[in-house]
Amino acid sequence: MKKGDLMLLLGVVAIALVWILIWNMNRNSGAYAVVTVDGKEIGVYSLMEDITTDIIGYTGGYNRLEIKDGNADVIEASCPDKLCVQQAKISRDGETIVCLPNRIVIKIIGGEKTTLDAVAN
Amino acid sequence: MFKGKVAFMGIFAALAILFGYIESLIPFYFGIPGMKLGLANIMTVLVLYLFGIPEAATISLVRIFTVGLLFGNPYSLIYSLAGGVLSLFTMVIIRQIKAFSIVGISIAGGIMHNIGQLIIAMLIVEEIGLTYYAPFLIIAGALTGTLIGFVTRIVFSRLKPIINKR
Repeated sequence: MKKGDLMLLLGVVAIALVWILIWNMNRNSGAYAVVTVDGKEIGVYSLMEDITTDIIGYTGGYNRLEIKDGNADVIEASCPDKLCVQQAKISRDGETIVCLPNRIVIKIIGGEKTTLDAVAN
Repeated sequence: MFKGKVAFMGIFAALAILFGYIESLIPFYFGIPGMKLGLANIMTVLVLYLFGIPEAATISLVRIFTVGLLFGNPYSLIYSLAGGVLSLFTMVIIRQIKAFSIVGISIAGGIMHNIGQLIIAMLIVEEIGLTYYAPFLIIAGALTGTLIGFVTRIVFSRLKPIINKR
């Protein structure tokens, strides 16, 4: 391994770690979970209200969204890889849970609601 | 064109496909979309150094489409293609920098492969917030790239003399 390789590896890892640190420092509590399917917003859920609902995705698949104790989590899904279920529950502004096969993104936002009124579906 | 080059390319392509298949068997994500072991990159980097850019691109595309059609779905194919193209493009450029060896190129390739997949994911679901995953993918890509790089370097050193003799 040449010195250049090592510099690249260390440099890149260092930048990434700093990126994660900065990101985590700027996280405020979230207020709403915004659900988008294929880029289109289909629902906004308050983190204050516990709810369990199925979100229908792009190909007809579903992801079960659970809002509980101020957190949003995907507890069940029809996609083959179940990466979305694996992803940890989210609660802070900017955090996301993604299901790529179903093209579903659940994102936490704080403060103002979006233009959509309350809950859809 | 030396005697037997087509045969070598055939074997390398088959190996790349095999690696792609093995990768699909090993779960390696930790909940982060786009994270991959990058085994198939061994062949891309190897062919890049042994033969050149067109050959590496050929092996890469053959692998992406075959694995994508056989073991994946249209979505995984697009992600794979984005990652593979960005990865190869970056590796070709980085290779010009003398300070890097095969390992360094492999690190760059591994990172860009993951980042390429993340970019496509962001375009498809239209969510800029996915950049949250970027640093994790960078670290994973760098680490797997290092391992892949070591393996590729050893294989390359064994194969180069054999190729040279033809």
